[in-house]
Amino acid sequence: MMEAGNKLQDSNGVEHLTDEQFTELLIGARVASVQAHLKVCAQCREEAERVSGAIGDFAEQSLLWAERRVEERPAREMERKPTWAWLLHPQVWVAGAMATALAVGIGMTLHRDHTQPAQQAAATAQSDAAKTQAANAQPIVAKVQAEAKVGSATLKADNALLTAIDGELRADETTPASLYGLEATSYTTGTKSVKRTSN
Amino acid sequence: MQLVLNPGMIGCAMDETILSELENIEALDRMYRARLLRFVAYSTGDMDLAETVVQDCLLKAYNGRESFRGECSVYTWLVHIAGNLVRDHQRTRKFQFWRKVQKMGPDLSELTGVIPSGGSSPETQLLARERAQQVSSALEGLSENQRSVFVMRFVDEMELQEICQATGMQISTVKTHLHRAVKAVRQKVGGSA
Repeated sequence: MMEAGNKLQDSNGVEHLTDEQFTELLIGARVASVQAHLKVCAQCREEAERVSGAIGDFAEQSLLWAERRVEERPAREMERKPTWAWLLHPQVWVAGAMATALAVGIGMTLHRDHTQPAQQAAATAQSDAAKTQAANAQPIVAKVQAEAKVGSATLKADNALLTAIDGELRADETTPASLYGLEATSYTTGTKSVKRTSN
Repeated sequence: MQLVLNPGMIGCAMDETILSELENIEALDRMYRARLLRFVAYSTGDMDLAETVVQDCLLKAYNGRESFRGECSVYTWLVHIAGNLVRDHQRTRKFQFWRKVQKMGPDLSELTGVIPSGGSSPETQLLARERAQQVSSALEGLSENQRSVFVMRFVDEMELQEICQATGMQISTVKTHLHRAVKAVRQKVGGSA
């Protein structure tokens, strides 16, 4: 069948229903020209019956399919379940236990991995400190000993210097005895012997 | 089954029957679940989506039954809700790029042995099944709107005005979709176009 403008013609040049007319026919619109054509054209009449029959078969079988599908998979509960309803499922508890075990396992592993390096670091630091201390200890002792030697010699020298200074000062010192013509013969701690000098 | 080509208009008056349908969710489910599932499954070609949408649709209709004004049939109202839900789901899925892309449309081959005999011979049953599969395969090549409108009109036998109410389309748009769908089916089944 060929399409010539809006008309469909077969190989013999006989006009048939266009797609628009065919649709109108199937929709159920009673178009006079279509009805008139159907009366005279057995080919279009047959085609219309074939197509509408196929659509009817499709409608029937698809409904059977849907009904069977509904029977196989009954409707889920239409009412809203309570919010805690999920707790009733054993899978939830199993999943929860597994998640907890996994979390604890990961936590412990991480903790162990975290503490071992810390302990190792602490031990290493301690040994390093001991080594450093040992390494630093000898020079300090030697230094202290040297400083001690230097210190005692200096102390003696300082004491000698101080004694000498003290002696000088005492020699220049104007004492009441000298003012009164008394000569100090000796100057010892605690007692003082004084000899009168003649003016 | 022969398609009724000239069904009468369906009344949309709110009556006691409609009210009782909406008040009882089990009745609502029993009466409309299969039809809605068929409509959404063949419109979208996605079984997972169809089951989710039908479930949500019935629940939404029941919860929102106060808003039903009885200006159309309950089924038209349900189809309208289902259409909105399909659009919402599809919009959400656009962002679910990790979701496995798959089309799991209804498979009429599942119907083997389910087709009621109705007194017909095995040959007639086989022929009917083949014709139904031809229509199904013709629908696969259509857009979602074309499929939806086709299913509403020829499978659910909704009037054009009801399709307009359910989809929000102009009647000319509905007719255009129908025309394209019928053309595809005619090419597949009629073998003359």
